[in-house]
Order: sequence, then structure tokens, then C-alpha cells
Amino acid sequence: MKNKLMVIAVCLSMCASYVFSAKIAKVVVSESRGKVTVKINKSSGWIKCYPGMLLDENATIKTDSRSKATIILYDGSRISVNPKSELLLKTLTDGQKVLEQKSGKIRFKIAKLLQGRTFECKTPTAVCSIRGTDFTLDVNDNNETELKVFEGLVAAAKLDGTGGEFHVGASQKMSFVKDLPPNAPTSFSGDDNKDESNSRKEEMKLAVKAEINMDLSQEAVQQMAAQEMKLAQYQEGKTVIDVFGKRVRIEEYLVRGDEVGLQPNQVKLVVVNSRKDRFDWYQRVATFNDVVPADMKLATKWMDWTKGATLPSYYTVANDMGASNTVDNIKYGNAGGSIVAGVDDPWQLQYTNFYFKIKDSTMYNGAPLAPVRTVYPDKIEDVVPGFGSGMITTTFPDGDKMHSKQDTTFSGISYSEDYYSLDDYGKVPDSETYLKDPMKYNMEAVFKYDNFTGKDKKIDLCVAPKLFTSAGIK
Amino acid sequence: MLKRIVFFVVAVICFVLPLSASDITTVFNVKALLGQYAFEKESGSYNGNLNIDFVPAIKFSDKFSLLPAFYLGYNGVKDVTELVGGGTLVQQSADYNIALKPIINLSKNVKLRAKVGYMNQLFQETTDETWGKGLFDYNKVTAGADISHKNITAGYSCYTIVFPNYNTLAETETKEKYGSELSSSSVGKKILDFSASEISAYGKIYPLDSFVIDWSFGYNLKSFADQKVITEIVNVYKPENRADNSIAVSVFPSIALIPAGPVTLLGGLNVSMINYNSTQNHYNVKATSQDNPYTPKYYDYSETQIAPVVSCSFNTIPLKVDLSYQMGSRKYTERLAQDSAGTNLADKTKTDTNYLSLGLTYPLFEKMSLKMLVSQFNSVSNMKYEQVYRYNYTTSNYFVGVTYEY
Repeated sequence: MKNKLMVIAVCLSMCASYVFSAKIAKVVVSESRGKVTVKINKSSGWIKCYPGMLLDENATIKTDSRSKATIILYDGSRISVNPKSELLLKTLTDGQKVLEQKSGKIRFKIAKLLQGRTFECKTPTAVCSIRGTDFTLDVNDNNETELKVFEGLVAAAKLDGTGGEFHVGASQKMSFVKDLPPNAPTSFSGDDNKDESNSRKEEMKLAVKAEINMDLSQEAVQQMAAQEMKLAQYQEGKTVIDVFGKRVRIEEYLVRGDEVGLQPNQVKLVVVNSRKDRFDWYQRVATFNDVVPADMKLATKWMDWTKGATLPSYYTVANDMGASNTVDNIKYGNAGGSIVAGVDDPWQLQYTNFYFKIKDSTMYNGAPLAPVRTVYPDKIEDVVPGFGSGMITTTFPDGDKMHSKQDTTFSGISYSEDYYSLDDYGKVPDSETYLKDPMKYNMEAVFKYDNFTGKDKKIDLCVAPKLFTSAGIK
Repeated sequence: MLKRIVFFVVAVICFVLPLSASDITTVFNVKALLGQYAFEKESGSYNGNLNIDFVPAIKFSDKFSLLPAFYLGYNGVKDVTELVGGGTLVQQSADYNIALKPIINLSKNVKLRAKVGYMNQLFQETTDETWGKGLFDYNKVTAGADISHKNITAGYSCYTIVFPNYNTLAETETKEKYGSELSSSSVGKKILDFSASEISAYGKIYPLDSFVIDWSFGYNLKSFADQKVITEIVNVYKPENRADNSIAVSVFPSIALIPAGPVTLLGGLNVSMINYNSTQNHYNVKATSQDNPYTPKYYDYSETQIAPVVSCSFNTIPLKVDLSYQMGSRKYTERLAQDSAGTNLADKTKTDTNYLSLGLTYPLFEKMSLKMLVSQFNSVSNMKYEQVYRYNYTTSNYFVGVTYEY
């Protein structure tokens, strides 16, 4: 973060150097339709004009027939250049602005001027001093100028100074013809209102676009509030994608008390998986050596302890795990837990019993399993006397992908457990990708038994690997 | 029912009231883009985004106008800044928004606006999710008013967001299918739904020629009707429901420059800060075997964003280039970072983000422009437990398309 701030500071300094050496843009072209050209300065050639173009002093803008442009000065004044018109931005300083209209019809909406500042519009035959008004100047092919004021007051006079100065007010017009003295201002009506109507329509459109931008900005802020709720759900792991590309909702609960059939020295962890078309759950009841205190974490922090240098205040004397799809179930667990002197560590926890049940039928109940393992290139064989067929075979059905499958049989009926490591998109990585960062992956466990009668004859669970590891399954 | 009432009212306004209007001005904007999104080395398929804004503004007099507005959007390509950690590469979203906005010109410089609106956003995030059944689809009803004087606007709005397809499993499926083994008390059913009140103010300051400072301030209060507050004791909740509040401020000075040569620059620096507070706590069941699975004020954070923006126009060709870079840093005040195994660390969770965007606009015909946009987003965090959500990643997308403005 600090390095990036330094980079930004350097960039800003470079920009500041531009500020001191560069000119500040004073005019922006807000609209350009048809063939509109500009000269950046008196000596440059005509180039195509387009919206967003920035202009400065001595720039000239010209419109062809059926063309139109609108420019906005930095003080907020708006100038609409109608077809076949030409306007020179002669002087654009804070104290003085002078525009020269060579031909055509141009609508001026000038922002109110501060005291001491002047704004003049000149044509071949007239000069108008403005105080913050809305008016048009129309210069025809004979250089005759017609001034119409829609709002405010314009002080107008002939360019050669003859005939005196006139004050032309709202809804008044006045003409200036070369070699003839000007007549007094008169009222106007008729097709002039059409100009006014079109102009107001354009203004209304700009105002509506500004309202749209405001609305969309406000909507974006409110949508962010909804996004935050969704973010929390994903961050807390309450929804993931399984290996089949389907959404899995996960909720986890920790419960205690006789209300749910637990003893004072027991706590239960429940994980439920809900998909569009199925519901599976996993639970673990941990039985401790003593009553679990009101501050449960004093005991639960030892829930996964198996060995160490410190003698724990609490340890599990039994664990009862189960998984179900609401129709079928598997249950397994250990009992007879006690602390003994360890081999590699001063203390270790050992159990005297392990059991395994399918659909409430006991498949094994005896000493904890101590498999004898043989590793082959394409499989692993664990000999476990008394457990099912006596052999658990682990294979890798998807080659190098992180998917393993354990098979055995109970009285000739096949039982298997598939374990998938998944990324956020429900995809199974290959081993090389997985080994780069194993902790990035979630786990999906699928238990299948030929005698299951529930949906798809399987129990399908997306869980954090830690959950299965600490329970001793894998 | 509310949706039908709003539709009916807006339809009446659009078809009946114009008969008495003095003027109707229509704004119609369309943006159609084709693009692709990528997350790390995974790319989604090509898809498109479409946005339509339609506002037939009705002017009754110089003092009163009515703006019925219709906004439609479809995003087939995910935005780089959108929620990514949940792993939804294929997300599509669609939304429609209808609003009604009367505007009263109290004087030349003072405007009063009111607004009512209804919005529906739909998501299709997984292969088994269909339109209208997205888990995180939501509806929003908004009402508000603001008043502006010259360059300053102040307003109040309130809105309600409802997620119709989301219920906690504890209150629905789990009880039906798991049975009574769970405790009877739970954190609530419609826990994502909330109502909010917002006070806002924004404006522009013109300290120098061509130098503009945009600023904004917002204060937001949220209340959750069905989300109880978790305590340190399992299955025991506080009597009051969750309530959040946030303050957001931003400042955006910008200036237009013509340096030597044919290039004109519009530069600015957007600085914004958000402070978010919530009464909700968190008990991490996955961390049951750790010393501290309980975190108070779990959702509290402060966030700072700094975004330099440069826009270039070339005075010899009608090409506009927009370059923006945004740095953000969000720090949670109580939420502890975790190592890759999920063990709590001493530091609080902090996520730094970088967003870089380059856009080109070239006018094709009158009112129609060609647009190209390339964006990249990067997130780095001290939270290394990423089994359920990714905090460290890079995303990118690109678009080519056209815009039409009437």
C-alpha cells in the first residue's frame, strides 16, 4: 500500500508539472451533429469537431448546413451554434470575454457575470454587451444582424458606433443593417417560439440525463448494500459449488443440552448440506471426560486433541459420528478414550473401541483399526482383518485429478467412499496444482452402498477437510 | 401485489398524464457489449451485456415535471469487481428498475424531487439455478426526496431489500428433514432481508476555472427484522435484532488541461472512505476446537479507496481514452485473519484491492459510439484460509460494443 501511494504521489507531481506548464481548457464541445469543423487557433487548419473536444481562445467553430454544435464555457455559459454558422472565441479571460459571430444563427445563454467583468458578442454589423441573458444573434448573407432576447437584458449597438446604444429586453428583438440607423426594439412572436421550444427541449434532455446519472449512482450504492449480504454468505462458507456444478448450501450448528438429548458432558456439531434436489447431513457428538462448562470453548478447544506436551483439562472419551441423506445412514465412532504416556509426545489420547454401522446394522465393533498398507502404482491396499471383506482398496478413478475412491464389501454388498478436493468452481485440480496450495481446496465426500434406498443411493457431503480429518475419517 | 400497484400507477402516468402535458422529452440510451471474463487462468465463455435506459420526461409547466423511468439490464459477463470468492464463474444477472420522479422547481435555483421505485435483480449462478430461482435474487422498494440549491443537494431515502428465495436452513429444511435434534432456538429465518434509511448530501465546488471538486456524504442505517444477534454462549441470542450503520464520504477534484500538443487531459483523484458498524457477532463452528471461535462485531470494517482518473481526448481525431486506477483497502476491526489451515492469527483481516481499467470511445455515427473496455482486478489479503472463499486472486474482463444515446 505504501509503495503504491508513493507511485501515485509521483504521478500527481508529474501531473502538477503539467498544470503549471499547461493551459487550462476553457471551452468544451458538448454536442456536435453533422459536419462541424473547428480551427484550434487562427493559424491552424479546419479539423472535424466532436463531442468532448476542448477549445481555447482564438478557436473558431463552423457548422455546415443541417449541422449543429453546442459549446459550454467554463463559467457555465452555453452557446448553441445552428446550421451554417461560424463563431470565433476571440477573448476568454476571467475579466473579459469577446466572441465574434461571422455568420449564421447562434443562441447564447450566458451565465450571470460578476461585477467588473464583461461579455461581448460582435457580428459584422453589431456589438452586444451581455449581463447574463438568453438571446440569439442571426447574421445573414448580407451581414445583417438580428438580435432576439428571450431572457434578461442586452445592451446592443452598431459596430461602427453610430445610432447609439439600445437596451433590448426579454421577448424583444432588434435588427442592425449596414449603412442604416437601427430601429428601436420590438416584440417578437411566431416562429421565434419554435426556436425557443427546441432549445428548451435540448435543455430538458440534458437535465433528464443528469437525473438519470443521479438515479443510477444512488441505485449502485443501494445495490452494494445487497451485495454485502451475499458476500457474507460466501465468506462464511454457507454456499459452495459441488463437483457436479450444483449449488450446495451449508449450515453448521453447535448444540448442547438435554433439550436435544445430550448429557452435560456432551456437545454436538451438525453440518447440513442442502441442494435443489437433495438434503444430507453430518453430525458428531463429542463426549468429554467432565461436564462441559458454561463457557463451552474451554472444553471444545480440546475436541480434536490427540497428543501433545500439555495435559488437557478436557478430552473426548468418545466420539459418535453419523452421515445421512434422511433415508440412509452411516454411523461410526470410538469409545473408551483415555490419556496415556505417548511415544513421540509426552501425552496421547487412545481409544479402546471403534465401530462402524450402515443403515443401523453393525458392520464392525472392536479394537481400533490398524491397517497394513501396500502401495501399488495404481492403487493402495489396506488389510483390515474383521472389517468388511478384510480389505479396503483405494484407487484414483480420474488419473492425476484429486479424486480418490475407497472400496470394500460387507457380506458381498459393495460400499465405497469417494473423496474429491474441490476449488471454488467445483472443479477437481490435478495433483501438481493441488500440491502448490492444498489448503485452498474444499472437500466433497460421497458415500455409496448398494443397499441404500435414498436419492441416488448415496450420501453426498461438502465439508471443510478439517472436519473429516479431526473426526479421524481421512 | 406491491409490484402490480407500482406497474399500474406508472402505466397510468405514462399513458394518461401526457395528454395534459405541455412537453414530452424522451431519453433513450442503449449499451450493448460483448465480452469475456477470466478468473486466474480460468476463462468463462463469451457473452454479452445489455443496458437500456428509457425515460419519457413529461413537462407540465416550468415548475413541474414528471420523470417515469425504466431501466433494464442483462449482464452475461461478470464484472471484475463483483463477488468472486464464492466461485461463480458462470454468473449471469438481469435486473429491471421502474421509478417515478416528480420534480418541482421551487425557484430558479431550487429544485425539489421525490422518488418511488421498484427494482428486481435476478441471478443465475450455477448449472442447476434457473431464472427467478436464484438463491440471492432480491427485490428493492425505494422512496425518497431531495432538495437542491444551485450545486448542492441534500436528501433522504428509505428502502427495503428482500431476498425471496433465501431462508435459513435451520428454520425450514433442517427442521423438516433432520428432525428435532437441533435446538429449537435459531438465529432467524429471513436473515438477509433488511430495511434502510439514508441521509445524503452531494455537490460541486468550482474553486478555479476548469477545476471542479465533486463531494458526497452519506449516512445509512439498516435494520434486520428477522436476524437475531449471536452471543458468546451457543444457542443463546440477544433480545434485539441486528442493526448496522455506515458513514461514507468522498471527494473528487478534477481539472481539464490542454498541454502542449494535440492531446487534452481531464484528470482527477477520487478519494472515498467508508466506516461500517454492525451489532452482529459471529461464532465460527469450524473453529470450535480453537481458543476463540467467537468474534464480536464481526462485520465492522473501515475502507479507503483512492482512484486517480485520466481521460484523454485527441484534438485531431475523435478518440477518447479513459484510464482509471483504483486502490482500495478494507480492514475489519475485529475479524481475525486465519492461516491456510483456518487457525486464527493475531492480526485483523485486511484486504487490499487494485482495479485498473482502460476504455476507448470512438463515434461511429450521430448518437452511436464504439466502445472498448479492458479491466483487471487484483485482491491481496492476510486471510489465508481460502477453502470456502478466495481472498487472493486476479480477475480480468474485456468488452467490445456500441452505445446509442437518443
